[in-house]
Amino acid sequence: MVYFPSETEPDTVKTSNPFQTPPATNSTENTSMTIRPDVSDEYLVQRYKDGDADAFESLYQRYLPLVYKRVRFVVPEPDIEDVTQEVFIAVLKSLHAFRGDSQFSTWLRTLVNYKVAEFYRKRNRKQDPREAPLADAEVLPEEDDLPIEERIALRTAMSSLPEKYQEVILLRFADGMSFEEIARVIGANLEATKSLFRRSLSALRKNLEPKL
Amino acid sequence: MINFNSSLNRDEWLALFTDQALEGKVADQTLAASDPEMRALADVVLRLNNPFFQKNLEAATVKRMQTEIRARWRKEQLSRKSSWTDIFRLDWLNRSKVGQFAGAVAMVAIVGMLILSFPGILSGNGSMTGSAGLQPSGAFLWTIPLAAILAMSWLLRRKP
Repeated sequence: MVYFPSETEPDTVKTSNPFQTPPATNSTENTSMTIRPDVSDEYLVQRYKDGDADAFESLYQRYLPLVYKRVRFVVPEPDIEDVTQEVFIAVLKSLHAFRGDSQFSTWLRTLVNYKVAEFYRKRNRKQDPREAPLADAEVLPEEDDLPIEERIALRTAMSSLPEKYQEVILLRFADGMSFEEIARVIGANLEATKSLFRRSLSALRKNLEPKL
Repeated sequence: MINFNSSLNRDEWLALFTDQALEGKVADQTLAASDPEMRALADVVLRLNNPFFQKNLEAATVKRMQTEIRARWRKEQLSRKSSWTDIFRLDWLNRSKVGQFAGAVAMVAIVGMLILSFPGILSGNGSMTGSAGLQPSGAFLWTIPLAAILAMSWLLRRKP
């Protein structure tokens, strides 16, 4: 059930994880001038549909870090910003058609996955996929955190995973969801979710093996 | 530090290990699991938990990307607008086609006047005045609107 509050949310509502919709409550305060950071996503979507461009800015501020982090796990360094921007352009294009059948965060995750898949489709048309990691390495700056080879190995292994395996890993590591939250999102019980997580890591390990 | 033991199944242990790793409570998997498979999976968890992937965006990057998104969105809107006007060809008056448009209108007006002046052409059930009983054929009735359509198409054709 998606909630569209007609007014503001109280100050006490906080959300540490933007992929979680904060609980909605009623109030009578008018918010025509400012959008507070603690209002629900659905409220911001409705404001945007009503012509308030600032509502999109709030959604952008709220979700950019997570979209960026999710993209960072699966897209090569030089293309992360571009794919992230593509995601938000797609949000702008289709937000008016968003009916609220699912949570905004779920809808956005689907959009991110679609844009990442589109990125790989376009890229594989342009060049031999086997040469792609080499192309990445040419433009990557060396960073202390993680050697280039390791970054390429992890991304290549991640992007080769079946969708449901990749998703459960991203939900835990990129979106920072607990296993209980992941279970709710994928519509499975906790035990099945943890089992899926182990199988996903096992598949990832196999993908990483030749480079170990 | 959690040890892998028989009281936890593999799924439970790995979930717990991951939770603790993400909370920064586990730094080394070698002590955590004696089972080779679980040790290997714990290693993958630690690799995914590398600070590189968890790094926060700088405020300047957020702002710059926001500006770029705005610019790209504006550009997309402009290109979309022009393609729609193109489809419906609402830009006649902007493309120096006023003469062609006027010619087409004049052609339609002439055909209309002919029809109004000689209503017998359309009715087809009587002879025209002074025509000595000649009947307009069916083909002739279709020729006039067809010619008008062809003339309009020719006048409104796109020139390279």
